[in-house]
Amino acid sequence: MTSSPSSSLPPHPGHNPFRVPEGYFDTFANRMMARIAQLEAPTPVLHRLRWLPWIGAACVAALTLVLSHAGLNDSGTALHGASAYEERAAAAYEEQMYDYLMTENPQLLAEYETDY
Amino acid sequence: MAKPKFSIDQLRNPETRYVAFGELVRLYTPQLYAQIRRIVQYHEDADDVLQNTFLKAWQNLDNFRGDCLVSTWLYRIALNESLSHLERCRRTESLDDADNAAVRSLESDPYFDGDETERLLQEAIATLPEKQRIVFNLKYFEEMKYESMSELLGTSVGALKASYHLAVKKIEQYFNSLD
Repeated sequence: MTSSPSSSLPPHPGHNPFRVPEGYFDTFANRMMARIAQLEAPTPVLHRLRWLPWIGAACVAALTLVLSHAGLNDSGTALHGASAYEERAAAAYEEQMYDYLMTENPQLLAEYETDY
Repeated sequence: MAKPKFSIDQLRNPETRYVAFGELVRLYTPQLYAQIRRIVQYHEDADDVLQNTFLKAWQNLDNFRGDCLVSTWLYRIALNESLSHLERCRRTESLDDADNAAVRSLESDPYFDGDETERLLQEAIATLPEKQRIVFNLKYFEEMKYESMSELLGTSVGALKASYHLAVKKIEQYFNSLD
């Protein structure tokens, strides 16, 4: 007992009232050393990440170049493409019309001069 | 205490440092934990402070001059880390609204199995200023000599005696206020 005789401090408990979870001391050292190992491990990923913004910028620049080049060359093809679409749409409309006529009255087909 | 399975040279040598430090952690964990737990009182906090203590020690191995025992050096780091923890807690609590602040009580702590008097004593200790709390714990529970405490804390024996005396008075007042 370390308090003075006149002290009204409670008596020394004589035991430690603080407990720890089961196995805490058995596992602590391993957990601690694993944390330190992780801290000390080289981080090559970080080196690669340092270049990531530049690689990204280069990719965007290259893609922009390729697309703009392709856009210039394909301007004619794009017009042709529109024309082809119109032709396909007209053909589809004609086919639908024949289908409709056949459904309503197949005999009517004979009146059409077609070469199919 | 068990005989250390490491040497200062092994701790200083980068080739042997990791293994030697592992032995150091195994050897001093129970003592440092007990000391930290007395100050911060809760297991989760003691676990955090103990990990920070060993991390600080690992990061400062090259600064350990060897002019004191490794245990003394570790105790100092542990005390500083405990004080920093209490300081952080106090700042957080002062930021919280008193009504919304999480109420922590040893009564509901599953890792405290003291009786009512022990719980009240711990509550009284928690009301002490940080340094008085440390001095009281070292003297009352660990029965450390003032000379050893002086070396550990870098404070004069006279100041430590005064600090302990004040702490005892405050704890007595706390108990008297309950009557």
